[in-house]
Amino acid sequence: MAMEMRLPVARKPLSERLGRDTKKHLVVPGDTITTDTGFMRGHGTYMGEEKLIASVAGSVERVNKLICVKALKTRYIGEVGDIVVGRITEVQQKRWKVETNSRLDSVLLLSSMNLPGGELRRRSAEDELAMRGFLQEGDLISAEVQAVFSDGAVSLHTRSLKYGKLGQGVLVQVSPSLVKRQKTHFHDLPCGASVILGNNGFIWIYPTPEHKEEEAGGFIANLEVISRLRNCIISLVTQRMMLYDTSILYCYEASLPHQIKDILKPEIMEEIVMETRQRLLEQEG
Amino acid sequence: MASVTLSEAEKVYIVHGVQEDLRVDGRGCEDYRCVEVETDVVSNTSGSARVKLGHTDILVGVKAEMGTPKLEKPNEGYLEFFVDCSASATPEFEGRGGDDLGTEIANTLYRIFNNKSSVDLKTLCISPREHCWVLYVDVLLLECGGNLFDAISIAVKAALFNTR
Repeated sequence: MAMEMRLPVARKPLSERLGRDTKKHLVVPGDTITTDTGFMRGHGTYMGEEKLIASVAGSVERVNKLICVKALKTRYIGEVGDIVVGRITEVQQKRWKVETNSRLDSVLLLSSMNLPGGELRRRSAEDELAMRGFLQEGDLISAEVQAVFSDGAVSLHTRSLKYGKLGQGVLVQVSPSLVKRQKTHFHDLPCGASVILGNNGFIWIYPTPEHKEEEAGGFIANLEVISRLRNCIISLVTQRMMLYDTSILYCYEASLPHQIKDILKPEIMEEIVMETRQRLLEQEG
Repeated sequence: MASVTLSEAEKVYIVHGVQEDLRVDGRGCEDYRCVEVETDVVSNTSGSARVKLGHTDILVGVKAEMGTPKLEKPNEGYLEFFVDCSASATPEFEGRGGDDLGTEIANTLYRIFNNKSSVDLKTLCISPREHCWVLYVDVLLLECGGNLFDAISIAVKAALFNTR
């Protein structure tokens, strides 16, 4: 039973390995963004001593006259139409409280949930009592953001067949700023697993639901594929790369020559992500 | 360890995997995570070590002082262990919650280091029945992420190795 010991190594700064031409204007709290007073202050900034100063650590975004700082490490801030993966924390009277890595627990109303037996049925008292039968504490769901309340709390709905309770699989929690906004967040990867990239940073990896008869045989292969995907996603996150279906797929292919448990070692992680980065650059340009 | 809530389906998945000797992160059932060992981290101790095993973070400091040998072992010095589970390690250790675990780990450490092969206690003796070295080993749990016994024993060994 061999154990691997290693000495701690100083982390290498990412910039010397990136080689990107578009440099983002990164600031830390207290940095001066501009001394020009003609700009409007957006989120993440404040006016002090005739200068515009950043109050969060992130990248500066400018839209005409509006300057704001988008924080890199934040909790999830909901927007209508986002796909999220959440965990049920409480079952309340007519709604469920869902944890989505945001500042307040999100809310899933009973009326926003698909019930068996037709969509347009009015929710009755029996439905309320049977709530725990649909979703219990600890269950995972995929849902879409219906509305955002004024205090920032998010209201979810699962009014489509593609949303709902999630079955067997693995959850990976990452920072919400690393999930790229795309047209669709449900991806079926060719390696046999599917992935849901929640905008709130919760990523759900599960075996692609194929023909039901093959389930028993393909189980072991699926488990390895899913573990490998999970380790790939974690290595992409450690190297601060954006997560989308292409980057995850390239990273998976780059990791195939290594053993699954070796992917988490720092040097192999760097190697795989470097290869992924190169392939992505080749594909773009 | 901070408890993690899981859905029933996730639990079934994990159990299936473990039956096939495959954990969720691809390790086998008997594989260890990567261990990071660093010695000589605390300057005002005779020896120290810091061990990181996944999310588990242990800091050990060793202080050597003069003392009198125990009556039943007049030719040897001895070790004294103290384990402090800091409240920031995991929410369950708030207030006095970590004391029970601390005493349990300390008792285990006494049993582990009681034999001749780990530390030769005769070398700690200065003059029999009068003076000897006493090594006070303080273990601090900075973060609790599983596998405490292994990480603590590695850290104590590294700190004793580092003791001058």
